[in-house]
Amino acid sequence: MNDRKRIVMGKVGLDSHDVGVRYVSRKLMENGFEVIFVQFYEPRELINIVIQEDADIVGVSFMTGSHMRLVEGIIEEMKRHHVDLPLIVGGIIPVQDHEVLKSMGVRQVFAAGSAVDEIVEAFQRAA
Amino acid sequence: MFDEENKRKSHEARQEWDSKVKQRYNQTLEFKTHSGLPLKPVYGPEDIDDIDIQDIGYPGVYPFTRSDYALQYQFQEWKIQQIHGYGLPEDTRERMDMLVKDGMTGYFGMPVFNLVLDLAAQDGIDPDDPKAFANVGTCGMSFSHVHDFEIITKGIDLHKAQFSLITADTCVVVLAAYIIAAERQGFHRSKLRGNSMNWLLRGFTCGKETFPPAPGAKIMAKLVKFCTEQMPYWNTTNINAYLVREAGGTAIDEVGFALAWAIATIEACIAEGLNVDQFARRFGFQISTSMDFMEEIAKLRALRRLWAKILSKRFGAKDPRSMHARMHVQTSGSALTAQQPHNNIARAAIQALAAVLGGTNGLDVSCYDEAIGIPTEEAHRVAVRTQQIIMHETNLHAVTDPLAGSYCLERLTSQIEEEVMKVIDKIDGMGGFVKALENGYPQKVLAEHAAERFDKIQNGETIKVGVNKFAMEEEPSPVFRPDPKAETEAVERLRKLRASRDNDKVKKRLESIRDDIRSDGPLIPAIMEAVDVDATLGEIWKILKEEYGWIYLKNC
Repeated sequence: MNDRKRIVMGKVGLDSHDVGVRYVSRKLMENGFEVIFVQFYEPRELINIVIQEDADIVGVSFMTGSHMRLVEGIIEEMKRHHVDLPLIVGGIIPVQDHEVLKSMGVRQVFAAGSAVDEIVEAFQRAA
Repeated sequence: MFDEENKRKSHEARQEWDSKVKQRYNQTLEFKTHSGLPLKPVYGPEDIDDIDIQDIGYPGVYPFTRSDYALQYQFQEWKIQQIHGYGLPEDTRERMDMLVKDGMTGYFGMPVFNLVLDLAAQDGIDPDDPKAFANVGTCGMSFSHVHDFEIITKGIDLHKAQFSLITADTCVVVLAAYIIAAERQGFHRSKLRGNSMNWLLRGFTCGKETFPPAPGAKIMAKLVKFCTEQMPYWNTTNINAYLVREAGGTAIDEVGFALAWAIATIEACIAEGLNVDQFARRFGFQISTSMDFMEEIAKLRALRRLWAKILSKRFGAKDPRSMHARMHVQTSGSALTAQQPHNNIARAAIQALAAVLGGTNGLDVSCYDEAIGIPTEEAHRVAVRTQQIIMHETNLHAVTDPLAGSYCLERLTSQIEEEVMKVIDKIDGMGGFVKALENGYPQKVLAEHAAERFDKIQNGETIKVGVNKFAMEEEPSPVFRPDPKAETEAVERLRKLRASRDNDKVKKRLESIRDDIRSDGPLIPAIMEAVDVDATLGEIWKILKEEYGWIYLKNC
């Protein structure tokens, strides 16, 4: 039986700026997580994958300023499908938006320049 | 390079230096450049004695290490060419007008623009496609039909202005729309100046759906052929080394993969029946300058030398213009921080200075709020001012390649040249860049080097001021947010377009694109015919994806 916690991790929408999230995924795998890396999905498609992959945590990276609307979309789809999982986000997300995102249901927000150890710990706590 | 008497004197001085070092400093110093090349604490004549003096040479003389031109900034300052793009075309036009007023200017004072399209447009997705949700106008200008270009170019003399169109794979459609918009305003294609990105092989740098490499190279060659025949002032291809660097590549990866990519593109153009001297002079490079000051200057010089040698020896180019590696430097965005963003003004100034000392032709200084969002007006203005200060206050325009002859710089330039040739030879050994991409080799290298780079920041080996050292509590910085109504407005404009156009004509012309592809036709004219009757980007792109294939190239 595989005890490793599963994270569906990546980018939602059309944003391909992925060097940061690929690095974080790598560190999560080094710390014992299974990471299913996703890119170019709409929120609805992301949640379908989360369900199919039996994920424990969802991680999404943003760079293009679309984080508010896309997180709104993700949370809506999670509610619609009764998916109650921690959602952790990171990337180019201005500090002003962090509390708003948390009030929408995001577990934690990591801006650019965050220490990867803290990100790994956050996923470990969420698992 | 030095005569025997001077060598002897230099050797004596070095021995004296050596004994002082041993007396006073009891450690071996092992510094490296950011890309891992060995860096000595002190360089001397013996470090460049084995370099062929002709490789250093003179500006404007093969292999053009020092400059493509005999005199450069004395007569032709670099282009101040800041990226701009967000929201609807009229929103972007406001920022363009501001930048021009602030002094964004091209060669000889001619207007220059550097327009980036939004992610939907870069991927060939119309604003009303569900996949475009939240991606319309957010980090680039929304574009889906020719009228968008009519708005953005209105009132600009397009025979004088150089218009760079940052579009990723959809450059073939965007070029078609630009030409039609221009000709409708009385500017003929044969006199249009600007840049198509034409970087269809760049899918290895970031996870992006794209054409498979072989058809991708073919489409690139078709754009080159079309412009070679009909648009002699248009720069057809931008080999984007910057993307390689930002994806985690070292300076060696950056130049090595960029040149391998350029070689594959040249080969594809030759396969389309073109002669290298017909098209190579309209290629250019977009390249970063990052924070290892000396290495970055050496890198630009090495690129010029390598390009000249490759074009003349490998491809038999005869026209010196084919051998000129023209460069647009974008200072490295990934070197900038969200923490204490005003520090980025210093970083970008250092990077810009390296670009100028390296002899760049065009320069885009990343704005200080790069790690927060797209630039505020103030941040954009500071970037322009940074360039103007270097241009007008440092006296650097007076001397071409002023650091030439520096023992350290010449050694580094030659070292980079050697290391880059190893990368090119390795890729040749794999059967060329297209094969290497299909096998995932550059993708793997970038993933490894990105991890190494970030590990070093995480463990403190690489210091980032304000992040892992000298961090502090701070107030949030202002954020620029494009008007979110842009998406609904773009969708509404599309609805009206589809309702008012001749849909039968559109359908026929879309199918003509398919016929053109299947008969290996020139592609761009058929796309132009469709754009002319208001076919949308998404409708045209659907045909190209169906015919050429569409894959996910980055798989690690």
